[in-house]
Amino acid sequence: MPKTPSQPPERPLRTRRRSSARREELISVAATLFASRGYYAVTVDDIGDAVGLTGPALYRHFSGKEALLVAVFDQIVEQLRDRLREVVSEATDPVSALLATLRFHVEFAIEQRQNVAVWRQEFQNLPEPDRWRLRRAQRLYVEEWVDLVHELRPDLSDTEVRTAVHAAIGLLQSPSDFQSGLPAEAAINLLMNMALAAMEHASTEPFSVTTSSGPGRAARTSA
Amino acid sequence: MIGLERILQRQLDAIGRIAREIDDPAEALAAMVRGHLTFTLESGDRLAAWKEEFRNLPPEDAWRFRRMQRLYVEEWVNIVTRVRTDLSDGQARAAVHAIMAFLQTAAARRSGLPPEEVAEVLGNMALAALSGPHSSDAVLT
Repeated sequence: MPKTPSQPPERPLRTRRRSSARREELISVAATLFASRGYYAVTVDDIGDAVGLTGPALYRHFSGKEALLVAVFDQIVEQLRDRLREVVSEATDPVSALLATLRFHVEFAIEQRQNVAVWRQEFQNLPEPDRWRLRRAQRLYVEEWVDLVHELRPDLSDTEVRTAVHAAIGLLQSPSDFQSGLPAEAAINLLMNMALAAMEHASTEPFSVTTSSGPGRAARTSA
Repeated sequence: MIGLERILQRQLDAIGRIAREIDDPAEALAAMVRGHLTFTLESGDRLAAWKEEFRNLPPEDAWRFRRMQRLYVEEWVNIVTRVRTDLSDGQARAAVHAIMAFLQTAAARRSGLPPEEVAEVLGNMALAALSGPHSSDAVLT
């Protein structure tokens, strides 16, 4: 797999602007095709065809499919943070901000299930500079969550909040791994309720269950 | 490959024992959560290698292993439908897969929290997530 950087080579100024518009178009088409058909099923020619470019013409903008994937990931993770900030800024209190955040992420995960799955599978194989840049953008996105959960759960330490946030994001992204067949709204509600209950009950107390035979009876059965 | 099979079989045996030996469904669920977390935290980075191994298996092995995985998931679905009679089979299965993805994050250890505390935080959260309808008025106060 080629490990060349995803930036196009230097070109004269006049063509660069038009070239950048074409680049954006390619990214947007690739994002749509990857999301609908899956990264592995889409060829460079499919992407070229969709914008009326031949293979060689496309390679002037991107070194290959992997470079396009990186560009799509860049766009997704950048937009994710901006859109989350918008969503949170419209909320009137922290609880509704959390609800909006949960909904935002689960809707994203369902809509982008293909790309989320490819991220999980391909991330480690990407060129190192791309990995660093994407990881940074991902961290900044997660920090938006961390801020919010800190506000709601001042009793939790920073590392506890982070543990809880990463786990909640994993939960909300489960549709990328498993197609439940539930109607979208039913799946969204189920996962939001689970994440919400989880956030509410995050604690480092030894966990136990409340059973019919009495509250708080420990169930620390060794497996 | 032998390693992977032994591990899957051990997990399957452990969860089967919980299902058979613990009558109270809520307690059985808690034991499953704890067992899964212990396994995930102990496996850590090796999980990624196993996943890679799994992806490259010959079809007949992949089929056998996938069957073991499905049996493992079905033990969870069975308990969750007992605890959560309000959920359909499809909802319970979606919830189980969600909890697997949730508990899986323990392997990445990205927070810096010591493993035993990760187990308590995630264990509490997972049980709450699986334990019932939620009134949003009482949330997070």
